[in-house]
Amino acid sequence: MHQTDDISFEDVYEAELTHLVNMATFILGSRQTAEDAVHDSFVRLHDRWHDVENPGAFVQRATINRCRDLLRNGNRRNKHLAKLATPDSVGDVTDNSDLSTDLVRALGQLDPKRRLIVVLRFYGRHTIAEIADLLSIPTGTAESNLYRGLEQLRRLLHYGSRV
Amino acid sequence: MDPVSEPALSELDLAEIDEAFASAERTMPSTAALRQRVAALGEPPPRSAEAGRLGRSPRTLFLATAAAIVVVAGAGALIGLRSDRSTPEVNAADDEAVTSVPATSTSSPPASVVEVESTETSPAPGPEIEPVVEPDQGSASQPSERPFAPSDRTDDPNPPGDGSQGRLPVSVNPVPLGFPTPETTGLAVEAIDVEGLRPIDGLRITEPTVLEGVEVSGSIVIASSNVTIRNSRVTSSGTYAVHVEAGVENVVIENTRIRAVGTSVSAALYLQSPATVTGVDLSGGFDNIKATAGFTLEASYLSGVNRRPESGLAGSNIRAFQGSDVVIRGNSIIAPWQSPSGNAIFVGADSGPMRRALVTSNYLSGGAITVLTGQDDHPFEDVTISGNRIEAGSWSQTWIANRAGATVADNQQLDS
Repeated sequence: MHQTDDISFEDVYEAELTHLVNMATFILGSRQTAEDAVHDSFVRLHDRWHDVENPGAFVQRATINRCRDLLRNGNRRNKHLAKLATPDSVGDVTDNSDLSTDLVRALGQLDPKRRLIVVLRFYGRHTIAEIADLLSIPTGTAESNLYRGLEQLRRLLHYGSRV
Repeated sequence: MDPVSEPALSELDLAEIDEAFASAERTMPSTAALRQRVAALGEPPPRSAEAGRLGRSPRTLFLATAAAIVVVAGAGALIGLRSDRSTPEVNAADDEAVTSVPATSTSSPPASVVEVESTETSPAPGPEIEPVVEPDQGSASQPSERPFAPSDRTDDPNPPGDGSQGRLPVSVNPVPLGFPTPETTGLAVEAIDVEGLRPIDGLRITEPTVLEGVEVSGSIVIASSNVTIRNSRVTSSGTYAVHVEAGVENVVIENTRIRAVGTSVSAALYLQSPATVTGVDLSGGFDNIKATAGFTLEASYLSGVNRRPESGLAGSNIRAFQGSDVVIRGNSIIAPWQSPSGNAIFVGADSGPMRRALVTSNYLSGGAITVLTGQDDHPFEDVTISGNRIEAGSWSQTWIANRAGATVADNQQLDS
């Protein structure tokens, strides 16, 4: 029996939307871009609703992959993310006035791949094995990136941009 | 968390990072607006009996989607299907290709430039006088499906190109204060009296000319450098109301109203050479402006895109296929409300390179995707879309789809 037999589309977005937007915001550093990424994912879920076995998992994976795409092309497509490296410029992203926390600034200085893994681990509450599966990377790669990302993040949270 | 896999950081460090996330989460803005956007999708149709192949492992998803793409592409080729939405492309570098393509994006502008070019003919060379076309005042005075204008407007802000069937609904909301309207563009810029305009027929301009204070009934073809059209009105049912031919320079169109009327108008303004367009009130055509050269468009009001009779699909207000030094700044550009196709602005490298384009400080509304960038094997460099105000919910798919790698920042959704 498929989960979609029992739940409605509304059930899914009520359950997943806020968490996914926050997660995408941590990954992308832009609330606006995060909302668009999550919206795209829900549109995709909507289009494929009748084929989806686990809607929650589907939309989560869709969001993560959308974030990956955006990060992968980050230098070209999202130059504004670089601004996150300097605290004063966080507010330059129009709708990010509420995101100027130390954490967001620190995340903005991490290598995108490490940032993604750190967020999935700490905010997404995924295990290393799950992250490796989600990103189609070896477990060891996920682990080493998490370790380096956490180390860097800890230093950034302690010492700001001087590290 | 899984302590076995955790790197060798102290528990204190991990707790601190954990708390940093929890603290940051508490400061996150509301998701109410996005919730509304998603809710607007409605409940999907019921599941089919053979459903349930997705939501499994990435590998399964990839194979299932790849198979579906092959089937759909094959079927489409066999029966000649055309769709406004693109067939998803498999990203070979990504095992999770099923979700690597944005669901709301399109791979190219809804209507192919090749198709447009193949069905249209440019005005014939040589001296040309277009037949006089009376402005379609009767249809222009009819109310739109979603009336836009304050009641005291004397001119329809979204005049139809063909008067009825081709007309598409526009925003119910007024243009925000400070952005161009029909009352601040065209003849209104210098308060030119319509009664004082000198009526002339359409013409082909072959030498440096200043065309000022005229009411043109027919098409204008600009085949010479150093041409200015100012404080005038142009009404045409030709392929293009105003056509700037290739190979000319220093063309200026300012404070002029351009109306493309009729069902076969490709574009109200076709730019094959650079031009500076300022203070223009422009409507009609499948596209308001079609450009294959750089141009500057400022302080202008664009509206009234028509449906294509053969497909029923709407064009775009601006379709810039290639060019260098494109500036679209400080305009109001009103695409059809939640249209199934078309864009307020398309900027792409479809037919050649697109370099140094800036789309900024505009008020934009409507379309399937309000702002779309696209690329097709040509360089797409130094393109910025920033500081625009886009009417929330006016699109049918998404507000910005950046498929070609523009810098997108500081754009805002504007609630009515």
